[in-house]
Amino acid sequence: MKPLLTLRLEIILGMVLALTSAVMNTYAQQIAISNSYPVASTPISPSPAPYKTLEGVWMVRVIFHQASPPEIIKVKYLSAGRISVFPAGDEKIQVLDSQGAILYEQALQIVFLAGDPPAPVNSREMVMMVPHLEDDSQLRVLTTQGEAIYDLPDTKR
Amino acid sequence: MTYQIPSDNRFLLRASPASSSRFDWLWPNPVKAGCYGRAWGETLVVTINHAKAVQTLSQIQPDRVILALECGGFGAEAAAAFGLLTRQRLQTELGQLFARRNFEQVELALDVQTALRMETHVLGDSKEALEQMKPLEASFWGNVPHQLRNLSLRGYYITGLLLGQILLFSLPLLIFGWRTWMVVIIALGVAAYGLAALWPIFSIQALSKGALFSIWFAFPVFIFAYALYNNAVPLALNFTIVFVLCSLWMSAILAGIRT
Repeated sequence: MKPLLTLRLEIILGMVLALTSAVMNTYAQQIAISNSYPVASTPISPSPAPYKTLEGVWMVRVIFHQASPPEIIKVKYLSAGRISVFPAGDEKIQVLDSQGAILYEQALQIVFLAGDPPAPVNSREMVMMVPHLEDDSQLRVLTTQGEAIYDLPDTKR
Repeated sequence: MTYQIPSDNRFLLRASPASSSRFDWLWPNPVKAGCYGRAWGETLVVTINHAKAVQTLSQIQPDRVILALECGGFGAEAAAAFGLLTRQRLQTELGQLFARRNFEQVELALDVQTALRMETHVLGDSKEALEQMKPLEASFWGNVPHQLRNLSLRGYYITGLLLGQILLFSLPLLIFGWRTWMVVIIALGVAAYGLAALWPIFSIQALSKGALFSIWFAFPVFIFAYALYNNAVPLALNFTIVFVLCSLWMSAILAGIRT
């Protein structure tokens, strides 16, 4: 069996193969994340109206990262409150039932700028209000970097 | 298995290699196959084209002719385990050399003797040497311990080669994050150990072995990746393609390095 490669060729081709694999993997990760975005198949009814005080809301504290999945830091039940409204974007916060069906969904856009004058940051912390619904079981935050899921407590009732 | 008849240049005497790599367990470490030493030497010592082996022999036995067999730069044990060094091949190479010149005494380097399981390292003169090179009669069951030994040796040597490839791949991969690094290294490891296990099954070219291996195992690897990635088809498909590329790559690495 004849050797195929010289050591120099091995090093160059090895680097090229590693880069090709890495680019393919990164691209596949992006496709997988965009394909896994759950979309509510039926209109969510009744949809909680914004700018109106509701009985029971979840206050959610989330950290969005530019290069990694989001983190849900804290979730607190409030007996009354108004749900948050954001400019529509690629990120989503969802309220799910125990079967994983989407009960409520709010799209939002995260801009990784902070301060005055605005300067680029790697992470943004945000507090959001989402409605407490009859069969809610989980909260899910979806970004292009991944997702975070939080099991809602039963003690609220 | 057939071997190409070497060109005349093959048996020109070369000077001893000056230095050898210190990291030869991570990469093959070849010198040009062929003869080294002095033209008037009447004793032939047969070894593999591993730089350190040729260099050591040239230093301790300067008055002998050293025949370095093309084994891709692997050590003798590794070359034997991967089927690059066999009695049949040695017989062919010696026959071609003796057609040009005879020697008073032919010897095997000790690591070659051990790798080929020869009883003695002294093979006599040119004629006796060829007769002693007849392949051992072996039955299927009689070969099993030998095959197991070779399997474990291949596992041992592929670990070193895999570490070398991980070092080579790490810098470009880590630019894209540790997850990407892990995915490609797992694919490389699966391909490396799988190929090492099944290496001697086919007597075909190295790249063909890699292609055949990856075709055979593409579907099981896809199912494995599909479960690993929580049913994400693009990632499973990507892992499978990376596995196929890594199989071809490792098969080229296992064929050795040429100078």
